[in-house]
Amino acid sequence: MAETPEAFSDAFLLGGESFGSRLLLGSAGYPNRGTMLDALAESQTEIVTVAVRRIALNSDGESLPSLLGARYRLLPNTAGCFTVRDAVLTAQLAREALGTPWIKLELIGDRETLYPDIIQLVTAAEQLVRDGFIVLPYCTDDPVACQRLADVGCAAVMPLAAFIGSGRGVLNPATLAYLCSRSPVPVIVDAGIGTASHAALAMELGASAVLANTAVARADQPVRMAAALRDGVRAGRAARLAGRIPEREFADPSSPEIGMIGS
Amino acid sequence: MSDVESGTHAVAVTINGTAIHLSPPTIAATMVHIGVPMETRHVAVAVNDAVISRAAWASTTLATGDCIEIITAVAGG
Repeated sequence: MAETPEAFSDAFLLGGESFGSRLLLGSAGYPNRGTMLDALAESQTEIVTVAVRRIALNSDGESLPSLLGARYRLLPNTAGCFTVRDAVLTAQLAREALGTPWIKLELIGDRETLYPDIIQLVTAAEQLVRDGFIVLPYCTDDPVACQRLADVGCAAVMPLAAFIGSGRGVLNPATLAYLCSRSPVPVIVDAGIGTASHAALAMELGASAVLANTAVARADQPVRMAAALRDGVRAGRAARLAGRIPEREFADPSSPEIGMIGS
Repeated sequence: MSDVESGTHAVAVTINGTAIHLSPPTIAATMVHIGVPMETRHVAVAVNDAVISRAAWASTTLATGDCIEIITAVAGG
């Protein structure tokens, strides 16, 4: 393909829709709402995750979905669910409350690692797909698990780079690269991103997009980190599309070897 | 006059994990109990694990033992 400007248009297709940004952000843990809004705007994200919880009194002003819904596609999650029943009901409640069939399906199997319970995850995903949901499951980077999730109709898979909130980056780049090369659905790297280079590496390895929350919300300067992740995702994606050089074991001079003085 | 005759009999239900006696046994009374106006947007209700669409709130009657969950969207990752 010629390197025309057209060649650089690179829409992210997800759930039958087209997005300009390949960075998804969470809405939790920011120092305050103003910082969250500024960070989201700076990141140029178009998709923002929210959680579903029992309604509480003493709501402080405008509700979060009212605040974000006009500007971003809200992606509700099932965070904290440990059973298929709870995850499916939470998804159904989210659909009713927010008017969206999109769901980031989280089905946790272990409180310490927050690792997903893959067996229950596939079961819940299958039920929700059958019920008309656009299912985006948080999962491990196990290629077989991801294939099963794609088989039951998930719109993407969302493998973790590292433990949720750990900020350790892509701990298993070889597996992630393999997974991305084989996945029939978009791969959105979710969890474990700590800084811009992590996001760039995930994209270089072939991820379709990156989801981050803690990396931005808990940074010393969330708005600045939002910009850094935005640029990291863009740089990684551009490098992936550009086609990087193969690695070599030894040196390969870049300057001409003929015409040296004294030769 | 009994509570039933007056149409205000109370039922023992659970709302968001808290057991209460609710009267009258309606979604509207549930909303009053938790202090959320009926017209509040981005709220969903489930009774015994089944989502009750907003359109069906007015016609839903609750019974003793019902487990009601009322949710909204909050900050999340």
